[in-house]
Amino acid sequence: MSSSVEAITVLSSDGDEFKITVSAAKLSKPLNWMLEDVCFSDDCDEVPTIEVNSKTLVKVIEYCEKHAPRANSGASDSDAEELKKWDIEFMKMDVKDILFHILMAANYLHMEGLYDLACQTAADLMKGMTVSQIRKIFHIKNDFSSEEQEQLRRQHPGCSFD
Amino acid sequence: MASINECKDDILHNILGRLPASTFANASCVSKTWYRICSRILSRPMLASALSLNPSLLGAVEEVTEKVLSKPIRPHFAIACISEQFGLTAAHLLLSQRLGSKTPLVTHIGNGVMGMEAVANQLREVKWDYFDYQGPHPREANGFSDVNRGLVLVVGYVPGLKVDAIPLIHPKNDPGMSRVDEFVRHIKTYTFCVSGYHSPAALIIFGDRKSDMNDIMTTMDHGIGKETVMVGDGGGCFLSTSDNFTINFPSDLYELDAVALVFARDRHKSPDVGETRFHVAMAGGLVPFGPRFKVVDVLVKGEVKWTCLSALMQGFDTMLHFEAVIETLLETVSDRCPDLYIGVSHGRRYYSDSGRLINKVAESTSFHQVVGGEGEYIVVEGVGVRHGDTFLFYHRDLETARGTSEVAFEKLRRLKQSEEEEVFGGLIFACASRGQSYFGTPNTDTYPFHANFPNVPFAGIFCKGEIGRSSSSSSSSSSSSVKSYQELLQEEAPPHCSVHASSAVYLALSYLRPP
Repeated sequence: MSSSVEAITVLSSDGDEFKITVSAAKLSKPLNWMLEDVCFSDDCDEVPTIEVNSKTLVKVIEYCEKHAPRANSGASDSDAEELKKWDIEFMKMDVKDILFHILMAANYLHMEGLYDLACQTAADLMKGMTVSQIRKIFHIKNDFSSEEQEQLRRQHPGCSFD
Repeated sequence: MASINECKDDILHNILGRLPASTFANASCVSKTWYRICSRILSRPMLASALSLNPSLLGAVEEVTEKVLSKPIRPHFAIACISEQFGLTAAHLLLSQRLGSKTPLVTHIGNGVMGMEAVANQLREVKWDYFDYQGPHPREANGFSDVNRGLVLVVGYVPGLKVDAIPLIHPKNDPGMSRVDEFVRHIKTYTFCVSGYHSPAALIIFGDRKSDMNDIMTTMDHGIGKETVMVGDGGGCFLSTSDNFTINFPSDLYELDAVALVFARDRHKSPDVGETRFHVAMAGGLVPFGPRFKVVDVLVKGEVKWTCLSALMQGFDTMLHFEAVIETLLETVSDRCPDLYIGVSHGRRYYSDSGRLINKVAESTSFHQVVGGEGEYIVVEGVGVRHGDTFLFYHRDLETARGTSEVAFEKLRRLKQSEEEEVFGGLIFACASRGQSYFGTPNTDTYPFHANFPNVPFAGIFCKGEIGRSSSSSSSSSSSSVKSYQELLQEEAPPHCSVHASSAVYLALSYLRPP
């Protein structure tokens, strides 16, 4: 791998160009493979496409750049604390808008840390919600028939439906 | 715009698997897809447990329930062991409210607790300093001391099994009237309705300190098939809530003697659900010594039931002076002041049609702690000793306790090595005479389980009269060079003994995946 390469350019699914540093790209296996392809290939003109939309990719790259120094060199406890706080701030986003895009992107890019963080955020969002509240925030259609609904109420007397 | 509906099942699985129990229950009713994924998350049995030494009952209950319900679980049964200081009724109601009023729950006052602290996540073995065996019955008493407060809670989810708490009661005005046969019948009927068999997979039994647990367990030993595992604490005080099995009895007319959490295999079990198995390992602590004696006279006294008995040395017919006998016996023991017990062999009498005694087979052993000698009489705890029974003296022995603890460790280690079964939970019933004060090292009673399964949830109780019977199909004779407690018993006494003394009983619950 040529040491002169410090960043690579990738395309989002919307066709926008993004720069991502080599160390940040290492957080994701698929990105890392792309990186190796780009560096070893003689024909460097071809820009790889990542099947993630621009809005999401901005956030994913932001996460990677923040976490890359720690992932590559290891960090002290105070850094870890600071990073945790940063993660919480980072995840304060509109649910419908982007959280699930991030989840799917993290899954697709094999980014364990981000995937874990996004899953936990989604779970935390639901905590304490009733059945209809969960349906509402996640736009889920109730596909139970009214008889099935009745049966559920009987089987799960502890559940709060409304 | 992406929505959660587009997420792949495994992403949803990951998210829903992080929900606390109550939200998880709600989430499973959101849609058909969610219902299916939630059912998959709960396809395996699990145990959740937590300990709290918070001096406030409310605070302690809050801590442990939050911890055990922090992950997806449907409480199929729950056991709480609390300190006497908390007040049994208040603790039981509070826990029942948190866990759902339909959840079979036993709230039990024992001599101490073992488990992982809910907040600090640290292993603890705590014996309550204050445990007044002679004091008022804890169901009536309400302590106000600030020390010795705490509890351990264990909640289980066991798909493929059905669980309920079945009580043993007796009318208050007739303390002598035993309903043990009826109790055994109730257990068998429930099991038959659920599984089509008469023997449940396991029984976890809690006895009241006022009841004669040796007698109850002897009847149960005969009445319930040998494949059933039995564990428990026979000498505490408890309250219980049942799901289907509610005997309507006014509490001012009846008293609770015991309760059994009955685990019966569900005949309607889905084929995707594997099997939950129960394994028992035991660590002993008593060694028999001296000659065998034969009981010639028995007196029972006191509400908490002491027995005074006189006996002859077998083969001799001179009355003995028991103060001297005990003194002589103690001289042969290296330990300066070992706890003394007698292990009484009870015979079952068989009569011919004409009423003539044709055979007497010794078939059960009960242990009674020796209180002292009074002239020709020896005073022991508990009742149930009869004229004609024989007994041996036993003393507590640290080497035996340590050695058999290794035997229990080894037995559980073999279970850990099994490729087909995975241990998902444990319960420990250890005699209150054990613990750090006896071994000199901390966490010795939890060691056989916790050292083998450091990440598996478990809870433990220090008790007075630990119950342990392994399933005859699973018990294998120990190949270890260290003589096990059972082996010692088999040499010196008749085989069956369900209520032990000075020992620790380990119950490991394991999961066998469906074929």
